[in-house]
Amino acid sequence: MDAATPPESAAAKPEPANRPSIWPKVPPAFVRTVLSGHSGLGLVAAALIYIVCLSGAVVVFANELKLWEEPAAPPQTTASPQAVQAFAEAITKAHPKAGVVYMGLPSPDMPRLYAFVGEQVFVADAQGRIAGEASAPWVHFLEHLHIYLHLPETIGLIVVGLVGAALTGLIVSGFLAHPKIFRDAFAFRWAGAKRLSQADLHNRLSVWGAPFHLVVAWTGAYIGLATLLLFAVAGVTTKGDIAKVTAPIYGEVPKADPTPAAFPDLVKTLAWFDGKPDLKPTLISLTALGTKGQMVEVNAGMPKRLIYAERYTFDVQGRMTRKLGLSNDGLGKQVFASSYPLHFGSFGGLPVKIAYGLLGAALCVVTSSGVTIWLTRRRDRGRPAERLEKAWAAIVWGSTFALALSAALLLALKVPPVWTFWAPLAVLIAAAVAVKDARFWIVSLRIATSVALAATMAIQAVKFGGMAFSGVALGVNLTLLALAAVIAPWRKPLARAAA
Amino acid sequence: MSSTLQIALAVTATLAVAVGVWLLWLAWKRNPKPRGGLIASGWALLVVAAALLAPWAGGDRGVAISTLLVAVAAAIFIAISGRWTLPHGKKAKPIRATAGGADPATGPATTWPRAVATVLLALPVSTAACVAAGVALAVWTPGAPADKLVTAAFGAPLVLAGGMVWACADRKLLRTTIGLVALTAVCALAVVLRPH
Repeated sequence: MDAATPPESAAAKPEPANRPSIWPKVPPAFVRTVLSGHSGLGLVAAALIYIVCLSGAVVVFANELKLWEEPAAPPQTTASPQAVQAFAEAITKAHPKAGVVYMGLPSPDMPRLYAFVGEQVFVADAQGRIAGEASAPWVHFLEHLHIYLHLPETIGLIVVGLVGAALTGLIVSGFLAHPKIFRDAFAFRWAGAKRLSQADLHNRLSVWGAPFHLVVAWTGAYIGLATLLLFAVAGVTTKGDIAKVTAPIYGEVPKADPTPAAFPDLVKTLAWFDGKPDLKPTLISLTALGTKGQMVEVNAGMPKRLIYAERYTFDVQGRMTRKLGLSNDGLGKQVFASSYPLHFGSFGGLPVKIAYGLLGAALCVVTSSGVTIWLTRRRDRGRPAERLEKAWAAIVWGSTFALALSAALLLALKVPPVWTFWAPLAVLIAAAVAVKDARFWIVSLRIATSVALAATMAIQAVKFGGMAFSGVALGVNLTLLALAAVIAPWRKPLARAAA
Repeated sequence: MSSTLQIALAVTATLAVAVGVWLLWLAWKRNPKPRGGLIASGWALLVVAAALLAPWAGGDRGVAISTLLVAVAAAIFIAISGRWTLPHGKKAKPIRATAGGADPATGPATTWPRAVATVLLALPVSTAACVAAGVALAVWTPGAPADKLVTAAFGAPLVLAGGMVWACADRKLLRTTIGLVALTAVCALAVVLRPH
C-alpha cells in the first residue's frame, strides 16, 4: 500500500516549503524498495488484517456487549466470600467432570459473579446459587472471529499471529518508506485529489496511532505465534513437555489425583486479601475440585500496574502457598503479564477502552485507505483494477454490514452468527465483482450497515424491554444508533480532481 | 503522596500533552522557519507528561495512558486544522507538506511463478526462520527461564515481520531465499550447540 504523498493538482496553490531536515537523507532507492514491500505485503494481507482489526475494535468492549446481550442476568457490584464458596460448590456439583472452572468476581465493567465451564458461562445470584446461563453467544462469536478467524483453534491462532506479524512489518516498513512522515504529521487535505486525501488520511492516522498500532500488532503476533514457538521450544528443550516450558510464567500444572478430598475453603482464601488494598481478587481458577489433585489460584488485579494480575496459589485450608511473581519477579514475567492488557485495552477502564475502540477503527481506516491508494494509483495511470476495487469495497463495508447483521439475526431468530457473517460476506464479494461499480457498493453497503445497526438496536429493545434502556445496555444501544447515523452516506461526495 | 496532589499532577500531565502536541503542530504544520526548539520542547513536554501521570496512574500504566492521550490530542489538532473543503482563492490557508512522493520500486512478483515464490518466501520460509530464531533466543538469552521465553516470544515475530517485508520488497528472490535460509541454518546450529 503506497501512501507516498502525491503532488496536488496543478491548479492548487503551491505550498511553502520547509527547511531541510537535520536528519540524514534516506537513499531514494531504499525508500522505493521498502515502499514496494509495504505495498505488496499490504495488498496480500489487507483483507485479513481488516477483519481482525474490525473485530478487535469491537471486542475491546466485550464486557459491555455481554451485559447488553444478556441484560437479564442478576447484577452484583460485590460478592460475599460465602456466595463465592456456595457458587463454586454448586457449579462443581452441577458439572462434576469440568476439569477447570474459572470464576469471575464482580468488577466495575462486569458486575456479576460468573463461572466459565468449558464454553458455557453461568451467573450466580447474591446467595451464590446458579441463577442461569449467560454465555453471550454473539460476543463469543466475535471473540473467536478476532482470535481464531473461526478456524480450528490452533490453526486459527497461528493464522491470526501471521496477520499480526504482517501488520507489524507494515507499520515498521511504513515508517521506513516515508522518511518525511513526521514533518507532514499534521498536514491533512481531505478536500483534494482522491489519492492525496487518502494518502493524508493513511499517513496521519498511521503516524499518531503508531504506538498503539505497533503494540497491538506486535502483541497480537506474539499471542498468535506463541503456540507454534512453544511446540518448537518444548521439542528442543523438554522432550515436548509444553507445561514444563510455560511453568515459569503460567505456574505449574498439578498432578492429577482423583482420590476424593475436602472442598477448598474459598472464604478463607478470599479473607487473605483483606487489608491489602493494592490487591483486588478478580478471577479464581479451580482445578480438579474435590480431589487430592485440586488447585486453587487467585488472580489479583493491581490498580496502578499495567500487568493483568498477580497470581496466588492456595491450599485446601485457604492458606497462601505460592506467589507466581508476575508483578515483581523479573522483567520477563512483567512484560508477559502486561502484554494482554496492552493488547486488549483493559488497563484503564472505559476511557481507555474508548480510545482503543477509536484507534482500532483508525487502524481499519489505515488498512482500507492503503489499498484504496494503490487502486487509485492504478486508475490514475490508466490501468484501473475495477474488479479489485469492487471486491475491496465489498470486503470493507460488507464485513461491517455482516457483523451488524449477525448480531441482529442472532438476537431475533437465534441464527448462528458464524453463518450470518461469512456467508453474506462471501456472497457480497462475489456479487460486487460481478455487477455495478465500486461507488454503488460503497453507498449501498453503508446504507445496509446503517440499517442493520439500527435494526440490531431495535430488536434488542423489543426483546428485553425496559432493560434495554438502562445502564450499560442503554449506552451500547445509543452507540449503535450513533454509529448508524455516522455510517449512513448523508453527504454527497466531494467533487475531487484527479491526482 | 495525597490523592489530591496525584490528581493535580494528572491534570497537569494532560495539559502538558495538549501543549506539547500544539508545539509540534506549530513546528510541523505550516512553519517554514527554523523549528528545532519547538520540536524539542514539544517532545520534552510529552515525556514530562508521562512522568507526571505516574503517581496517579502508575509508572508503566502512566506511559501507556499518556501515549493514548497524545494520539487523541493530535487527532483533535488534525481534525481542527485539516482542509475539509476545497480551497477558494486567497482564503485558502497554506498547509505545509512535502510535495510529491516516492513511487514504489517494481516488486518481486512480476509473473505468476515469481508471485508464488514470493508468497512461499513470505510465509513458510519466513515462518521457519522465525521459529528457528525464537528457539535460538529461548536457549541462548541470558537470565531467568521466564526472561528467555518472553524474549523469544517477542523476538520471533519481528523476524517473521522482517522476512515478510523483505520477501515482498526485494526483486532478487535468490538473495531473499539465501538470506532467510542462512538465518534459519545459523539459528538451528546455535540451538544444536546450546549449553547443556
